[in-house]
Parts: sequence; structure tokens; C-alpha cells
Amino acid sequence: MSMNLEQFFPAARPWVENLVNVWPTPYVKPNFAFWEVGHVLSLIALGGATILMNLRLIGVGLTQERPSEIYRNLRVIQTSGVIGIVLTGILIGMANAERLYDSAAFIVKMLGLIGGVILTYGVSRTTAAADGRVSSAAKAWFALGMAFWLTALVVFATGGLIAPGIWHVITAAALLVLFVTRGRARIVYASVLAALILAQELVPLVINHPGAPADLDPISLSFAILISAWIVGTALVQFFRAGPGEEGGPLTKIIGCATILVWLTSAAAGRWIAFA
Amino acid sequence: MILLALAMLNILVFHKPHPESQGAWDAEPVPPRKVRAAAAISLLGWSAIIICGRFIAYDWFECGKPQPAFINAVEACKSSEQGGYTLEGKRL
Repeated sequence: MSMNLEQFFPAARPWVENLVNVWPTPYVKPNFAFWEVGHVLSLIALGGATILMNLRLIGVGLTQERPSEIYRNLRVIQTSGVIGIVLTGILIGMANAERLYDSAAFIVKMLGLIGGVILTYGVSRTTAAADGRVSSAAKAWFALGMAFWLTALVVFATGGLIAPGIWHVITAAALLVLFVTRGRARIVYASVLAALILAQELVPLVINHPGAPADLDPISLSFAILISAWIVGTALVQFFRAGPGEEGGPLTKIIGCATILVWLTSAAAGRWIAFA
Repeated sequence: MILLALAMLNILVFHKPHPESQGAWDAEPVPPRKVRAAAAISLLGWSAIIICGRFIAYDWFECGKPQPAFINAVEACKSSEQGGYTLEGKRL
């Protein structure tokens, strides 16, 4: 299942092909790298602010400051990052419109972007501003943002040539949970994770297959699901075992994780536009 | 690579003396000048590393393309196989 914009809007091809001639694209295209670097730097500003703010919601990182204080200090940087990625994204997107039109990774990126904006502005920031308390409105936005993000993950994991990109998200989630776990739980978590990774490497060698990479897709997808389940399961056990705290309970921590990972999904998908 | 070395040196220089003194300035609204300088160097250094890293994928300054006189001079394009071209497209 590999989807792209052409499948949804087949009649738009002439319009897409002409975007390269529309102002300001003729000025952007010769200096594509400058705008792309602007896009990456905006992403870094957004990513840095998002990671610090949401790690605090999870209960790690800058724990000496209240979540509301961290939110107040980072909100301008975060919004600057969002505006920066959208503006530079439109410009470099217009200069590369045909590639995006045919790209499954671009669909993932856009789903991630929408999910990221919803989770950031509707959920994470309001929760951080309220020192971890999740309002009813935030819960509703959370459900919507998660729907976009989970759709993005499914499209990413089943998107043919872009499917390996899902491992960026899984790796980031694995590291995030490594930070969250403590003591013996961390050792057990890391050991099982290492065993699963080892098994993933060994299974294709054990199972007799003709050698075509496509034959390995079901195995790879199965391990992606298995490893993801272990990561998510460990995180949920940790969050629910900790119970409700002064600065938010399990849902606050889940919001923190999801908001970091949704932007990571969008960024990873963006990089995969160049590859497939 | 030079920037990477400088950024890592900054980590060493900053983290060695400052954790002990952090308690003294942590609650201050404005940290000492040395600390702010280390932070600025870190931000600028890592940003520059990312910018340079992304530019590796592009080869703008190869001979045989119209480009500024400075690039033609440092690349010695005039004597190269591709030749040198001014920004107006005139062969050197």
C-alpha cells in the first residue's frame, strides 16, 4: 500500500508541473540548498523546544523548573520553528512539486505535520501551561491528533520503499523509553529490546527465502510491530505504575511522548522524500 | 570537522569548571558572561555543523559553471578542464 497525492488528485498534474514557474519558485530553485537549510534549522528550533517541553511533561529533563515555566520560556522559539518549517516548506515544496506529488513520504509528512500542530497547540502546550493537568478540550484534541499520527505511522510502515523509515520513529521511541525507565525495569527493558533486535537479524538467516528483499517485508513488518509493542507496553506500565502525580498522571506523560514522536515522524518522512 | 572539534572542545571547557559553580548562578536571572558565551558558541557551532553537513549534498562551486570571480580564483577554474565562467556566462 503506497499512496501519494496523484492517486487522490489525478487531474492536478498540470497544475503541479506548472508550480515551478510560479513566483517565487524561479528565485528559490537556484538557491534550493539555502532554503532547505532554513527548513532544517527551523526544524531544530521546533524540535529542541518540543523535546525540552515534553520531556518535562514526562517527568525527565529540566525537572527543577515547573512545566509552566518551561512552556513560557520556550513557546516563542517553538512557534518560530513551526512558522519557519511551514514557510520554507512551502517554498522548497513548490520548487520540487512533481516529486512531492508522487511521494508516499510526503503524505506521511503532511499527516505528521497536521498531527504535530494539533498535539502541540491543542494538547501539549495547554497541558504544560497548566502544570500537567489535562483539560477536557485537550483530551478531545489529543484523540484527533493521535488519529492523524497513527494514520501517518501506518502509511509509513506500509509505504513500500519508504517503509524502512518507520525505524527512525521506533528507534526514537526506544531511546525515549530508555530515559523514562529506572533501575531494574531499565535493565529488563533494554535486555528484551536487544534480544528482539538480535532475533530480527537472525530470523531471515534461519528462514529459507529466495533472497529477494520483498520476501523479507512481512518479517520486517512483524518485528516492527513486535518491537513497537514492547516499547509502548513498557512505557505504559511505567506511566501507570507511577500513577497520578502532582504534575500530571499517565495521560500527561503519554502526551509528552506522542508530541515528541509525531514531529519526529514528520521530520523522518521529510528526509525519505529524497530517497523514494 | 573543524567546527565539530570546536563544538566538542566547548563542551569540555564549559562542563569542566561550571557544574561546581552552577549553584552560585543558577537562580540568577542572567547567568555570568562566560556561561552565556559558552551557550552562544554551542548554539552557533552546532547550527553551523548542521548547515555544513547539509551542504555536502550540493556541489555548487565546481568549475565550468557561472560563478563569482572569487570562486573561480580559489578553484583555479581558468586552468581546469571544465574552464572558468563569470556570472554573466563569459568564459575566462
